[in-house]
Parts: sequence; structure tokens; C-alpha cells
Amino acid sequence: MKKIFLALALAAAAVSACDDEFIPPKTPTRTTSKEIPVAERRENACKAKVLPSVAPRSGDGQTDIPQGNVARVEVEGASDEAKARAATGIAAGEPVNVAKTQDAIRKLWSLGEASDVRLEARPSPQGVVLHFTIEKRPTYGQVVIHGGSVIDAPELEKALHATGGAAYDPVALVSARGTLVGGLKARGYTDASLGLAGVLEPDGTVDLCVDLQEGAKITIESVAFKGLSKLKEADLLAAIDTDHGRINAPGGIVDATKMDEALAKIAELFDKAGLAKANIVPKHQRSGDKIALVFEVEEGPVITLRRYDITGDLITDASAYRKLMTMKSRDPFSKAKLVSDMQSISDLHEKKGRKDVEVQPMTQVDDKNNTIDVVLKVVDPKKTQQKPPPPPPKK
Amino acid sequence: MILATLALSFGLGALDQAPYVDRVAAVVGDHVVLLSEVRARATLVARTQRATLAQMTDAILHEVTERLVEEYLEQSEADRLKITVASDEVDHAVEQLAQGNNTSVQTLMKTVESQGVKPDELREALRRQLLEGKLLLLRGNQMQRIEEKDLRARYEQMKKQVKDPKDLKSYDELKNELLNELLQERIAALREDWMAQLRARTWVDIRVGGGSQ
Repeated sequence: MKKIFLALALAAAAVSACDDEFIPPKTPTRTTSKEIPVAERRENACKAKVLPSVAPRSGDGQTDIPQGNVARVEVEGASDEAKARAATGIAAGEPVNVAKTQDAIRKLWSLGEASDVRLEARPSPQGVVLHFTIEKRPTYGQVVIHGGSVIDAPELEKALHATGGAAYDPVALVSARGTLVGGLKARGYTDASLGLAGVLEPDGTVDLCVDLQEGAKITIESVAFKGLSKLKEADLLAAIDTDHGRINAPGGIVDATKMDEALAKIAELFDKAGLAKANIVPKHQRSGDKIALVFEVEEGPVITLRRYDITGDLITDASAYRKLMTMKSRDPFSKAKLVSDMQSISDLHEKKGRKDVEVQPMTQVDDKNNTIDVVLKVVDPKKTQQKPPPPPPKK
Repeated sequence: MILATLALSFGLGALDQAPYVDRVAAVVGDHVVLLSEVRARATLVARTQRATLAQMTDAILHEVTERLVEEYLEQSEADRLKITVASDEVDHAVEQLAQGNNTSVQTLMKTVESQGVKPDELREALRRQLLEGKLLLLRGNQMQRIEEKDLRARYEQMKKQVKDPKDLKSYDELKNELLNELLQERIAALREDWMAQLRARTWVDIRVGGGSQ
């Protein structure tokens, strides 16, 4: 039963010191008995490696929720207590239900002002008291932003909503980082990164350090396929969408998504030519702000189809199946055509009301002669189940 | 004595107990994983190991929370790419699991239930595995291809590890085993890399079992 257990099994960028740019906080910070100098706070924020977690650590109590009806619902820490109590969706008198309390926590969280939501449920003579505590998000204290030439510090501040006194929102910060860095990469700044780090200060505010490293704009010097003998380089280059030379072409910038799409098209060209074993390995060469896109190709031999047949629990005439098999003996073998034929056969089964009948390809490759035999096996699960068990071995 | 009697009559004994607590166990972008969900999954893990929730250490709870976070990230990615797992695909996986254990689906389900796992829980675990498989397949082109020289290198490595190389089976005998081993390693590396990318674009804060992002 080992496999059953397997099925269930459990299955920052470094930030430089902040000495090159300084944006004063827009709101004064609260003071503590041991006040840390502003410059030190800003330096500490930039020395941090990650954004701080601001959740309070507290005991986890009992694991089983008390049974009975709800006596009352209490909400502590909300800006609008009545609104928060309504958001829980739980009323006095109804039976206590874990799914409902989970939903209530989620709804309180989605009100958007919490860094933590906690439920404590206690039995009382009147029933179960549900006490929800909302821990409000801290605000930013010191905010240090190192901008770049494409996106400057004020633009970053706006995009990240990172202003002294605003609520600390790590979800929004990380999400905005993705958008900003993605945008820079799409403009050719392949090395762009945005460091986000900070410190939760004793006065309860979060000091934040934002460090944008745009890097240089990287342009393409050349695009080449090496190792071709059966296919022409021009045909492969034609499969790349260059958007009039703007992307994935000499003088343009790299668009990884479009290049992946192009490589899928190129793989189809190899497949069409019977080069079933072909392999394309990108070996790009970077030199300063230039990049040469190099694809090393191992074409391998042309694989020829020797036998192409169908067998098994056919649910109609063999000729009806053969009509759907588009490759014939001595053709270059194409995986795409094989998959397409199998799909046509599945469609035939569906038309006959037998969606449950499967088609399994059985292949045998002859490496010496570079040929392949393909037999499509039709498997009818009804017939498989009806088969009598094998007789017991004779003693 | 009178006070104690009064306390009991009003059920005050129960008030002295620690309360039931549920809270945010992890934040994954806009989503929260709750402590009650972590406990439910940990209970399932405990049952398969013939243990109780109370025996689950903080480290295990942390690991369970990590797993739930990853499942959420995977599900979000699947939603974004519109990738789903159909019910008949799960049926097929159940059949394969039964076949792999040389048993029928019915017996498999009974065995699993006797180990404290409900059929729906098994089906859900398989659905998640299939979904992860589909998502990883999409990234298959980023997996380093396994070549003959890689298998040979692994075999030579094995040779060095045994006291007497004569004790080792021949390369041809071990080839499939080596291929499977290397494939598993590369899939694991691919998954790790993919998960790191998903986590880099989402705020993840784990608040169970010590430590956060």
C-alpha cells in the first residue's frame, strides 16, 4: 500500500546599504522610550533581507470547537464594529459550525485592514461565545526608495503605495514588484530586479527599503541555429515572430514568451520532416549589453514508419478505423500526425456512444534501421472487465 | 465548597479551559490558510501514520502549512492557465493506483478507509497530483534532457560507491533504474524552480511552526 501513502504524502534580492538616495517621510513617526535615530532606522531597513511578517505570535488553544449554539458574537479591533460583526455572517442562536467560523475569518480578513484575524470560542452557560480579534496592519515609518532611470523614485513610490503613514501591505508590494519588473523585462531590461525589505520597529511601524536595479537594456546581436543539415536555417528563422524586428531579431530585444512559442512551431517543422529524435538546446551568449541567441540543434536521423496498424477491441469495421489513419508505411514518422489520428479515432468512438473505449499506442523503434512500428490498440473496458479470471495453476 | 458547587452548576469549570482557537496560519497573496485547515490536513497525515494530531510536531505543522500554500499557488496557476482535471481522469488514476497495488478499486477504497482516509480525500489528493503533473508538463521544455552520457556518469558514480564494483549489476541491467532515478531528480528540480518563481511573485507569510518568508 506504499503508493497510497505516497498519494497522500506531504508531498530577495540582496539590498544594498541606503546611502545614495533619501526620501524624507511624509508623516512624523511615533517616538518610543529608546528612540532609534532616523538614519539608523533607514540603514537597518536596507540591511534587511526580506519584508517583515507582522503577525503576533500567540497560543493556539484547543483543537476542537465547543459544541452547542452561539451565545453571542464579539468583534474586537475593527474600525467599524457593526460592519465587521455583520461580515461574520454568524448570529446568536445558530449552531456552532467550523465551516461558518472559517468563512467568518476570511470575510473579516477581506475587509482589508487586518494583519491577523483570530477567533477564540469559549463555552458559557448561555452557549458558545465567539470572539474575533482583528489585528490592524501597521503603518509605514521610514520609507527609502532607490529609483532608476526608467522608473524613478517618485514613480516607484506611487506604484507601490509606499508612503510614510500609509498601511503596510506586503501583498500589494510583492504584486506591484511583479508588474514593475515584468514591465522592465518586456522593454529589454532583462536583468531588472526590485529589492523589497524592511524592519518592524518597536514603535509598531514598518520601515521599508525599495531598491530598483534596472541593469542595462539588452539587445540581440544575432540569431542562429547551429548543426543543421536536413532543415534550412531560413525556414526555422521564418517561424520566429519578430514583430517587425522589435523582438527576437538582431537589433531587437528578447521576448521569452514569443521565443517559446516560436520553438514550439520549430519543433513541428522537425516533426513534419520525420526528425522525431531532434533536440534543440538554447546556448545564448551574453557579452555586456548584447546577446547572441544561439540554438544548438541535434537533428538525429529521419525515422521512417514501417508498420502502422490497429488492433484490439474494435467497435466497428477495421476499414472505418483505417480511413482515419493518415500515415502510411515508409512515410516519415510524425508524432503530431499520430496524436491527430488517435484523436480522430476517439471522436469516432464518441460518435458511436462509446467514449469509454481507449486507444493506446504501442511503438517499437528499430534504432539500427531508424524505423518505427506503431500499433494502435483499442481497449474496451467493458470487455476487459468481462474477461474471466485465469484458471488457477495446476499443482 | 459552596463556591465550587456554584461554579459547577453554572458550568464555570469549562470556562477555565483554554479556548478553541482558529486564526490565520499563512497568507498567500490575497488568500489565507487557516489553522483549522492545517489541523484538518495534519490529522489526515497523522491517521495515515497511525498517530494523533497531538503527536504532530510544530515542524510537521509547518510542513503541512507549506504544502497547503503550495497547493494554493498551484491551483491559482492552473486557474490562470485554465487547466483542470476531469472527474474521469481521477477515476482512471484510482484504477491505476488499484492496479499498482494488485487489487480492485473496491478493495483499495476499503483499505484506504480502514487507514482513516475517506475515498473523497484520496480522490482529492490524486486530483491535486494530476493537476501538478499537468502544470509541470507545460514546463517540460525547461527540463534538462537526459542523455546516454548522464546515465553513464551516474553509473560510474555508483561504481565508486560500492566496495567491490563486481557486486554492481551491469550498466544495461541498471539502465532503466538509473533513467527513472535521474528523471525523478530532474522533475523535482523543475518543480522546485517553478515553485520558487511562483513564490517570488506572491507574498507568502507562514505563521505556523516558527519562521516566515
